[in-house]
Order: sequence, then structure tokens, then C-alpha cells
Amino acid sequence: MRQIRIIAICAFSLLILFGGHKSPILASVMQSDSYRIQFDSINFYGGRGTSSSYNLEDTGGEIATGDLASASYKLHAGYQQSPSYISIAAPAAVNLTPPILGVTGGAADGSGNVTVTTDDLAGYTLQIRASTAPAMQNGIYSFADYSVGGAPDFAWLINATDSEFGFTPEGADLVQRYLDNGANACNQAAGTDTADSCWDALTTSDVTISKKTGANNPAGSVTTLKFKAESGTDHLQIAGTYTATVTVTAFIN
Amino acid sequence: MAYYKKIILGAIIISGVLLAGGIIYAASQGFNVTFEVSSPVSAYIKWAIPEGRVGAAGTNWDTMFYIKVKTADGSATLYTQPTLVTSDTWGRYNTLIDLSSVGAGTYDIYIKGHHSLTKKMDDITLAEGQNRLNFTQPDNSTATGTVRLLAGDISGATSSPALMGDDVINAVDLNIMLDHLDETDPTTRDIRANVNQDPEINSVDLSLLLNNLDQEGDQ
Repeated sequence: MRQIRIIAICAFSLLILFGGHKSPILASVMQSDSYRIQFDSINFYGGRGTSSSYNLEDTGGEIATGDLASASYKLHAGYQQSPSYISIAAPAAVNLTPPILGVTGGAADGSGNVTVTTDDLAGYTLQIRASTAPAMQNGIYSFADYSVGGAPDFAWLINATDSEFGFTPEGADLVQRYLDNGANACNQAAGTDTADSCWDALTTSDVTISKKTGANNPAGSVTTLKFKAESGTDHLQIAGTYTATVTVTAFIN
Repeated sequence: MAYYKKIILGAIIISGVLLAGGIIYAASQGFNVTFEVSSPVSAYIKWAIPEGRVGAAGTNWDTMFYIKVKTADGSATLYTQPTLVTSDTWGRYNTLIDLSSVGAGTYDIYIKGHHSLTKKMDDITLAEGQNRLNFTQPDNSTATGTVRLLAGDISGATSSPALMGDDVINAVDLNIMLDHLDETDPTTRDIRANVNQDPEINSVDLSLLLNNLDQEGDQ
């Protein structure tokens, strides 16, 4: 009896280790107008225990638990199984072209797709950040982060005496900040995604660019990131290779 | 018994740490965005001073012009400025002229003003980045020199480099000058025969032209 108790407690711990305490929204097995049962389980025992420092939700004695997968499906069987997954696929690198003439100025453009896939009905949120400020650097030289007053700029525009680097996202799941009125303004609540509009700066803080409710597996959702760097005609930019390290992060809502 | 207690305690501690820290279902990926900034050959002008201009230094040295770059032996034209531009009253043109198509090297460099014959600087080295062109010195050295753009080529239009004079001062230019002789030019910039850019076309302008009669621009 003592051995059973020990094994059970260890099993709870392992479940927490791999499952975590987060409770994503999943397909409910029962619901009415006023309630929804996300999960149920017939087992020997289980429950939720809390203290000022810990939350513990345990179950024991389930049968037919474990992971199953095919090309199209993933099955996490069991009440305390990690219930969902999320994956992200970003480009290995983005090269902007053509080369910018440091003396007379010019602009370089490039893009890459970020695909987020999740089976969680809560959907996903996609964020972007740069590793440095300003983002685009070459040793001690840099391009300034794109100047925005608050909302992103509908059209890319820099002063002739400046050099700046920025981005705009395109896709079906863009958040309000990157939606526009089709003419001259971004951050529109009921806006649309006009191509090559709503230019923003990369910062070292995560900025949400896309958000979607609902699962999107197995195809996933694509957000296209367009990057632009420009050196103004009256700006002298030192020659060399300029690099920005960009990180995209997706998480389940 | 003590052994089992340790196991239990360890498992609970691990669980607690994980719960207290929180686990977020997330995926992240980093990548680099890169591009090149090149430093092509470019040039600005400091100075190109037309001959015979009235007034104090730096008040009347402006001219409409274009530049041309040839191989060092003068056998081939590598670059002709596509549009006419205008220097300031100090004879400077600070906007960088893109010579990236030429590249670094040694060349003959020419300037043609809208009143004047072509002036050449021989065997001038252009480096990557910005180059100063000083047409007042035969060797492109730094100080303001005494070389001037010879006045009198006033034939043709001033609409493009190809039409701006025939680069020889002859009877064609003399006839144009005579047609405008004794006219006033209040703005000092409206009549091309007003080569010294004062308020009238008179004997001073005529003398400048006659002094250079039969001269040709540098080839």
C-alpha cells in the first residue's frame, strides 16, 4: 500500500513535469448554455490541491493514455496529458536587395514567411522583436529604427538626411495595429491589410503582429514579414554588411 | 522509509518549481536580416569658377554645367552627367555626383559650363567614396586656384548636356552676342550672352568673348 502511494505521487510529479499547470482551452466533452466541461476522466482518484505557493492537479489510474501520431493527427490521450502543441517556421535568413549606395542613398527590400501551426482551439499569438537597439547594425554603425509617431506609418517615408530600418507584416491574422483604412492610416479597428502598408520599427520588446482564435493545423497560418532599409539621398552611410537579428515567438492564447 | 520520503520530497519540489515558474506553450525562432551598403565612387565640385564674373569672390561664380569622365588616355568617354546642374555662387556643387559606373581609378575629368568652354583635369585619381573636384587647379589640389572656365561659348540650348554649345568660340557665338548687345538683364541670369552676369550685355561681355575667339574646349 505504501509503495502504491509513493508511485502515485511520483506519477503526479511526472505529469506536472511534462504537462505543466497551464490549462489551454480544448474541445469540451460536455457543455450547456451556462457551463462547459473541458475534460472529464474516469479514474481511481484525483483532484486539485493548492497552497500559497503551489497548485497541484492530479489524477491517477487512467487507462489508454499516451501519444499517438500520424501524418495528419496527433493524439494526446489522457486527462492530464499535455493537451496541445504549437510550432513555428521562420526563414533561415532574409537578404535585402539591392545593395544600398552609401553615398547617394537608396533602399533595399526583402521578405520572409513565418508559419505558425497549433492544434489548440484557443489559437495563437505571434510576436516579433529584435536583439539590439537599433536593430540594424554593422559594428558601431547602424540604421535607425523606423520612426513612427504611435501607429505605424501607412506609407514608408524617411527624411533625406536619415537612414532607417523597419518592417511591415502581411497576413490574414494581423492585429489591429497593422490593419489600415486603405488610404492613409493604420491601427484601424475594422481595417484591412493593404500590401506594403503600416511600417513599424523593430524593438527589443516583443510586439504582437498576428493573433488567431482556433486551431489551424495542419496547414498553419502564414504571416509575411517585409523588411525595408533606406538611406536618404543626403545621408552618408558607411559601407559594410548590416545585420539585424530578429526573433519571432508564437504562443497558445 | 527515509529513502521513500526523500524521493517524495524531491518530486514535490521539482513540481513546485515548475508550477511556480509557469510553463508557457510557445515556440520561437530567430533569423538574421542582412544587406550590403556599398561605397561607390562619387564626386562633388569645389570649385569651378567661370571667367570674368563681376562682384566680390563667392557672389557670382555660379554656372550651369555638366561633367564628363574619360579614360586617362582620353580615348573613351566613360560617363557624362545626364542632366545639367547648377553650382552655387561660390562655384561649388555639393550634391554628390554618382560615379559608381566609373569606379575607382585614374581618369581625365571635364566640366562644361553654359557660358564657357570645356575644361579638363588630366589624370585625376578617383577613390572609393567621395572625391573633391577642384577645376581651379590643374592637378585637382585643394586650394582655390587661378584656373577659370573660359567664357564665350553661348551657342546652342541649355536644355541638356548634348545641346549646350558646340565647345568652340567662333562667329556663331559672336553673332549671338551682337544680337543681345546693349540689352539689360536685371536678374543677371536671364540672357546667356551675359557671360559676366552683370545687369547688361555690353562691351565687357563682348571683350571676354573676343579674347577667346577661336578657342576650343579641352578634348
